[in-house]
Amino acid sequence: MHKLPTALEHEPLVDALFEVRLKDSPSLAVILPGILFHELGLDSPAEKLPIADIPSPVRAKDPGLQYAPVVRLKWEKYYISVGERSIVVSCDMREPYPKWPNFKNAILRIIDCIGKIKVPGKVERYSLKYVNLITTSSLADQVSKINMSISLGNVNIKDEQVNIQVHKKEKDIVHILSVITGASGRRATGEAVSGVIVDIDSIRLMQPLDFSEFSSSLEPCLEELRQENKVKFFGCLRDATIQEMGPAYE
Amino acid sequence: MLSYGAALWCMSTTQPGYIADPAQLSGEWATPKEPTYYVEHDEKTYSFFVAPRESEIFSAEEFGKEIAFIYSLLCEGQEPLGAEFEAVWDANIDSLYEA
Repeated sequence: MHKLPTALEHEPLVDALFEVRLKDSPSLAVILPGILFHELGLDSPAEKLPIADIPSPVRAKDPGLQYAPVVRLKWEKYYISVGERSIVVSCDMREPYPKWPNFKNAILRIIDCIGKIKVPGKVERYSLKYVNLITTSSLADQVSKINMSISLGNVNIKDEQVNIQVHKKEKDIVHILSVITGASGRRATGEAVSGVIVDIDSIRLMQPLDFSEFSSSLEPCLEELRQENKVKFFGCLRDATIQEMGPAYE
Repeated sequence: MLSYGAALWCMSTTQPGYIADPAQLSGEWATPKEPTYYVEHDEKTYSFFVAPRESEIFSAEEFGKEIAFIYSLLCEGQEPLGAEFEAVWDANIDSLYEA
């Protein structure tokens, strides 16, 4: 395995987040915002998200909505989003990515804060998701950025619109690798971008664990998860693509 | 599915998921009773960047199906009130909409 870059001069990242999901817990969206507001010394109040207007029993029955956050708080360079049974720590992408050591420390601080209040329920999984959008214009260019070779029948993928998702299980981690060409959107800064999305979602499934026990044992597992996620991301890119990003190796 | 006049009364059938198709009750939307297929995959981490794109623009038909689905979930969550409350309801139904 090639050495992994520690930083990129031209960061393609558009979203970076950590999520933890609980089972058998009361509504975290009711319990946590006030406690986090106090413990972290937040300046601005919690923001109610649009999905909160859908009644809770309806959200609970919809697999796509069960873990959707309903409340969001801003803390330093991060957002803390809380659902009925999930907590998401994400980077505020209007600012440069704070780099993994800082992001990790923020995650650990928030999880530790929640662990201290002995929130009921058990952690059933946690995950790291990095969404990247590599900007380039033509579909052929976008396909060429990715380290993949796909043919379907007599169709060799060269300049086609592709939406591929692979679930790869390795030990207790499920990596969901998504590549989508022909994507366009807007960064959090408002800049319009188009290119190919490379989304690496690394999920660690686990035996249900008390939150305080989860919090105290998280750090090495989180570091391992991040490294595995990085390996998958850079493995999806051709060497030339990585070089164009201006990698730094420390 | 048994209905007692008021639309709020529903009882579950043995079929999970879709019980009564409220769209069909109104006779206006023809929604499928079950999805065409199921996919059993690990659920992705929720992302604000990705999630809005997956629910971008609804056509009128898709919006109608979404609303019908929400109503079917509401109906699924209904429970009979029981004989005691039923009696109170029956005794007072005439005055419910009294001006």
